[in-house]
Amino acid sequence: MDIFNSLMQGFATVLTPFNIWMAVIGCFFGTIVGILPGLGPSATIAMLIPLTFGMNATPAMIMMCAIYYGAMYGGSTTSILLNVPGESASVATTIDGYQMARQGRGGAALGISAIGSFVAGILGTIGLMLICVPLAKFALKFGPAEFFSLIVMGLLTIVYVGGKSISKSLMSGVIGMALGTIGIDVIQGAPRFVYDLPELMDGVSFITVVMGIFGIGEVLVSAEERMKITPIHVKFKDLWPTVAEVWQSKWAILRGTAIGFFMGALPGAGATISSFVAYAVEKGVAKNPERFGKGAIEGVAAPESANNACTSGAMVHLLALGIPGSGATAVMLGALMLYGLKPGPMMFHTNPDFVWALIASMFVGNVILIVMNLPMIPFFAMGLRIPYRYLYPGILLICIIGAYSLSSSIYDVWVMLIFGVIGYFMKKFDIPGAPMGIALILGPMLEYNLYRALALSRGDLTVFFTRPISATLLAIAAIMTILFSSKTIRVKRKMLEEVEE
Amino acid sequence: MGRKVFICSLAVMFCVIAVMVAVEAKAAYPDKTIEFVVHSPAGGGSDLFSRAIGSILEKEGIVKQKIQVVNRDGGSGTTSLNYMFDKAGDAHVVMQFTTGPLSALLRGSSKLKMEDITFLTLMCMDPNLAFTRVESPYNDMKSVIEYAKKNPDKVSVAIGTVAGSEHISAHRVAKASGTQLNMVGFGGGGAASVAILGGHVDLGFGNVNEQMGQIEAKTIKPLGVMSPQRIPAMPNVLTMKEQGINAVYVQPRGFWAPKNFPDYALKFWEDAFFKLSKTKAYQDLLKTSYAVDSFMKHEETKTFVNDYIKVLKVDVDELGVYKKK
Repeated sequence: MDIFNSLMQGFATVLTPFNIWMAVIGCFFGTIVGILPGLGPSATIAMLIPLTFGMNATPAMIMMCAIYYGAMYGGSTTSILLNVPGESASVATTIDGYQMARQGRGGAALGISAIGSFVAGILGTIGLMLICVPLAKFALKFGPAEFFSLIVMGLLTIVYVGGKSISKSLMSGVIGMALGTIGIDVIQGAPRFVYDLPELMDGVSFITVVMGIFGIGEVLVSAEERMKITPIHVKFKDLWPTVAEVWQSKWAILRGTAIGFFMGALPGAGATISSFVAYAVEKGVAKNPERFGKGAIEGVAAPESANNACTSGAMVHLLALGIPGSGATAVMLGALMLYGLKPGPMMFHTNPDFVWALIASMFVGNVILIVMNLPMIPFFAMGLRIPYRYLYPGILLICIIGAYSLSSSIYDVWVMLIFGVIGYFMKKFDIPGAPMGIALILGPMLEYNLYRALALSRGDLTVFFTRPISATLLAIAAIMTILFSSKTIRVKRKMLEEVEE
Repeated sequence: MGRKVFICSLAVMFCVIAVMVAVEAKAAYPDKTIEFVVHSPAGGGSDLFSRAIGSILEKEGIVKQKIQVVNRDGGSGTTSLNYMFDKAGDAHVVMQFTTGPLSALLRGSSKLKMEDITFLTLMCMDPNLAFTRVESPYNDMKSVIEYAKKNPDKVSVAIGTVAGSEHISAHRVAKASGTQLNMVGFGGGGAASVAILGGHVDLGFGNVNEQMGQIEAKTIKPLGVMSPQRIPAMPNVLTMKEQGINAVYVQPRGFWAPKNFPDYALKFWEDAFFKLSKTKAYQDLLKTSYAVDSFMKHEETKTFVNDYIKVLKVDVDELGVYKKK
């Protein structure tokens, strides 16, 4: 009851014309930033911070949160329609989303992603309200050993997100891991594969690689194969998902939300991993997993719900621990300090009005976003009717601007173009790109957490098995492996038998 | 004949106008948008400091032009230094410096060298401190060191970036006390804090500003400050020196400009930052970020940075990072 009263108090603060206006502005900018690949939510928030100087902390924070959500909503648009992930968290969405768009169901994919995001946003905020503090306490139990085991589990999703051939998926994963070793390593400060190029010191940026492999690679392949074919004919009735499709995705959305929320609460695990894990889980539990990768609507619903729920999870971390759980919340933390607020466990006691207004604003923001986004979907989906000879130069342009905007340097554009060519050959040889993306993100995290865990245990390898959380995670990973391999073996045997017959 | 006179007078007129324009340009400096270069991506501590300062300068009317913060992050500070190198002679580019770009200079991987820099001012110092989580048995640095002396390599320290401020602080403490600490890199302050709060690591070092929320919430406790004097915000916490450990570390923040920065511009920014340092808005900013006002002009800043870098170089060499093959 107490929570309910505080929340109502929060709504009273938020539902003033000025605060609602701030939320609308934030949602609008966030959506645009999310749609344009490259520039992410953290950079946008930072750039808009000076606008908020002189305001109270509450409207300023409402706007920043709205940008964060908006970016997560908008990120799916280009991934689905153009196979260009707007930000890292929507890479998993491209796998089935783009296939849906190719089949003329782009509107349905965008719709389910908006609905999934909305449900995840609302449920995530309720979760934030109810179990913020205990969840944060649990998250603290994750030391380097636990993270290592979690990442091992995360890496196993490679076999789910790849295509038919497991060996090609693994190949792609290994390339991603190798790319992840480039740069100054976090542990010793030693430059690895840098060749005295200052740009390589920070490693290969995930988003440029992904934009190249997926976006540019796709354009190259399509330019070769499909230039002569007429554009996809989008029928008006396909501009929205049907009720049946939404109903079909209900469990995917709920599972995605749960995964995203809990992983968001773990610092560093973040939106990207949770979206891949959510995808893998859907494929794992599906009755006919072969639909995945060919335009399964659950394959869009799950990762999109997960990456949105993740924002609530990241807020758990920010509000209950005062430590940022993601790039965007790190910026918010810095901004809060500029307003003289001290983010941390005391916020609930020292500034309850602020915290509850913020939570209330998340509900409001999600409603604004769905109201703003649903009517736009048909327009976006219609975009695919544009003939290829106009559409492809457009995609190239968007990708180049996006890559340039990352750090306003032409270097990122070159990296993206090079990976575009690599992406072209990967497509030609049927090597999936998603495993490479996962491994590029998780590889360095795996290495560093292994190092940290061993440094803290003085080289004792048993820590991974003696710590309960770590042991549980590894056990789950082992079970996943056994289940997956037995399933694969069964399928292969069956195929062989059929051939023999 | 008439035509020649006409052309001559036209030429004279052009010259006069050109001189007038030039004079006026000098009088009205700055005459276009100012770039505030930051070495870190948008949202980092340095970035937010620059944005806050830029907005105060504009609002108080000290700088009549717009100030635009430009993030040239990458290469652990090298990218921003190279950018400054390319901007030599540009009177509208100013960059914030702190320990990050200074160590990048030390590493020598950038085109920009120490002699290419026009120092403008030093603004403030960020104090650092050592801390542990509240459940820990230690209450001061002295007891940590006593334990560490008997058990070398047993006390673990969470480090953010390699050769960053936490690493240098921890290294100075270990060196001054003659102990061996198990320093583990976490790649960033956030991950390091989580490891300390969760009890996975014994000890942490950090910026007072970033840790204050946790200290007030009593999730972590300060063990000692790295500044030469105690910090007004926590008068009961002893300095390292007072605990018998001869280690000091402060993090300066100031501004510099590219090579061949015109004198009138140098004068302008010295004055501007001096006026800024007297505004209430800036003093409030310092208060909320627990930074210590240490305003210095051009010459003093240069001397200060030279000395600072000399000391820093010893540590960085000892840590063995940036070693040339």
